[in-house]
Amino acid sequence: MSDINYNIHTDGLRLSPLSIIYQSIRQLPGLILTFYFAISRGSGENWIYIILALIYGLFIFPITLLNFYYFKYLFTKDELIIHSGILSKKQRNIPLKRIQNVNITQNFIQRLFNISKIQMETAGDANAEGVLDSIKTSKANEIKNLIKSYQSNVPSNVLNNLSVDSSTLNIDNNEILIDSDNTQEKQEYVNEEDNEKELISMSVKELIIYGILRFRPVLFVLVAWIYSIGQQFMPEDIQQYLEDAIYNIEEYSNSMNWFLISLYFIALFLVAFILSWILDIILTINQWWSFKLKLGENKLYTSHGFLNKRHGTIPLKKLQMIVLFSNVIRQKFGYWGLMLETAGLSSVENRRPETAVPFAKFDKVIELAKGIINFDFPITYEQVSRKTIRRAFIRYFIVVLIITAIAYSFGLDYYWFSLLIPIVYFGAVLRWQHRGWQIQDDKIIIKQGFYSRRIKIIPINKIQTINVKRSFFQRRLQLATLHVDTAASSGINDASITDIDENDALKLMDIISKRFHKLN
Amino acid sequence: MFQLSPEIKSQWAISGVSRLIFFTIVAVALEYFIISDHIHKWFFADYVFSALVFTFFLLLLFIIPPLKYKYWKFDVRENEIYIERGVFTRIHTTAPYSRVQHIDVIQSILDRWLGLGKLVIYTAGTKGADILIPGLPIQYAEDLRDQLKNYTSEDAV
Repeated sequence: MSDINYNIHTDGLRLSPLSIIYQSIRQLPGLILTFYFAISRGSGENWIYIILALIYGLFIFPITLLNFYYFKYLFTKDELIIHSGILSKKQRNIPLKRIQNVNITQNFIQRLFNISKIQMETAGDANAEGVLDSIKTSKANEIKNLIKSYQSNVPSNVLNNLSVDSSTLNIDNNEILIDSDNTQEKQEYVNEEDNEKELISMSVKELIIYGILRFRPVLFVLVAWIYSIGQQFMPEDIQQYLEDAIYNIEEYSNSMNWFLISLYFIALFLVAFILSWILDIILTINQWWSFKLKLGENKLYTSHGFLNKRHGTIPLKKLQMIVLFSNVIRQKFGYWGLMLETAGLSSVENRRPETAVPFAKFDKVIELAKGIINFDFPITYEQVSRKTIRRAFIRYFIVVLIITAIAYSFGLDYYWFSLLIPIVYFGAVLRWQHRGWQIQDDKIIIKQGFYSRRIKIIPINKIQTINVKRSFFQRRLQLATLHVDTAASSGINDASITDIDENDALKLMDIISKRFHKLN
Repeated sequence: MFQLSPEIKSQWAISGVSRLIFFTIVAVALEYFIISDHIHKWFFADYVFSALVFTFFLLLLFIIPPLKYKYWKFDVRENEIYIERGVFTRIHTTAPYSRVQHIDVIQSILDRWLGLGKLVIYTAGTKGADILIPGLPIQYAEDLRDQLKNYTSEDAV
């Protein structure tokens, strides 16, 4: 039964050899850029570029190789052990029972090689995170199933094998974990897959509608991103290009009248809008291709993606908050989505709340949400104080003032910006109208957002701390912000009710804390 | 409701002094290297800006610690810890004992001179998750820690 009688340097398993190629490909953009600069700028005094390129070329590939050589992982009776490091060695032991989420992701290059990255996330201390980047896809699935069966407390054959003799786990480096000729075990995995009940999936038609109704400023972000990269690597060229462009436009526009200019402006805007729209549709289809949500034992499993495949696990036991999301347009058509916030570790890269449903009809989403947490969907909400309009308006007004000041310093017709003031006031009113909250027996429900809408449902027994904050400006208006802190790790969904009467906030704090103690 | 030990005021004052020194040096450096070339000729006489920064932080040194002390209150209740604090932004926090992950008592050098300690209560929360009570007599802090320790649970998520 002892599982310590192994020598890691002979017994551990390596990542897939294909991961060397994959990691090298990932280094390519950096390599190409460095060499580009070495060649284009690396003459005369700028020898620094050549040296950089040399360092990069001479070291990066060997380091990739060495990293591969020294990275070993091993599953013992109840632990995952990872050894890594070229000069400074690192050993990481992750108890299998503490693994919360197992995510398997596959990007385009990894798909070509049929390898996957598997991330095993714990809710414990920051060091207990396991990332294997990358291993064979079939191995990744086996590991996922191994952890699943370990945690479901049903001692399967796999587990028995594991506990009897750890060496059977790694007899053969090609067949990780379990001997593949043991068909009985294979059978069991298949059964387990069958036990999962499919809750929701997306048809291609729905996918396209989702893309159409998403309306994200994709093009804007893309252009800004390209610009920022350009700024970093060739600021002078970009500067020159922009100056030329502005000069040309000025020349050109001087020869036209205002009507034509505004026509061109509208046309430009339309083209940008349509491009952005099409891009968004394509990105959406790629991201959510063949989306499926399945229910396993106390866990939800998601899978989606066209070029980059993603499999996610959502442990329902660790659920902290559920969030219904939509935007103004999607809501008009009756479509909502569902995000689940779980307790996990926020240090994992790109930690986001798991999307259980990206896009479905409202009834379907509500039905699913009620299956996860029992709650009544509120018909009416308590509104926050009207004074919040004043606060929002002042904040927006300051932004308008700053824009006007900038416009003034550039010698533009700054007084046009006064037109923004009523618009901004209207925005502040809309913001107030779309905020609301309700406290049910054991849930807090918070609604917010005019354009992008969110309804957050927080179970009171998941609360960690309750805070009431009153800033200097809020105190002048007798307002307060109530914030309930949970262990939700993404930090995107903030559970606070902003700008309610300060006495109400303190009373609510009391009520919530009393209910918390009754529930726990 | 309890108040902190009054010695904490001198500790805050000392950290105020270090802030005063830091910002005065920054102001002088700014003025010497950057501002003096462009602005002061029509805006300020030499080193008036630094003097203003110095007086501002000197005033804060006398104003802030008593106010901070006045508004810092905490209560050890039957099943939760309650805190009220803040001069400009007032914050009230309650943390149920069942959410405590672990508790530390921290003593800096300044704390040791004054016989004080800080109690830090960690929860699994994400925003303002760690609760820090400064300026407790060290004996009291340790007793409180031992008392609260009984409540900590492994699985407080």
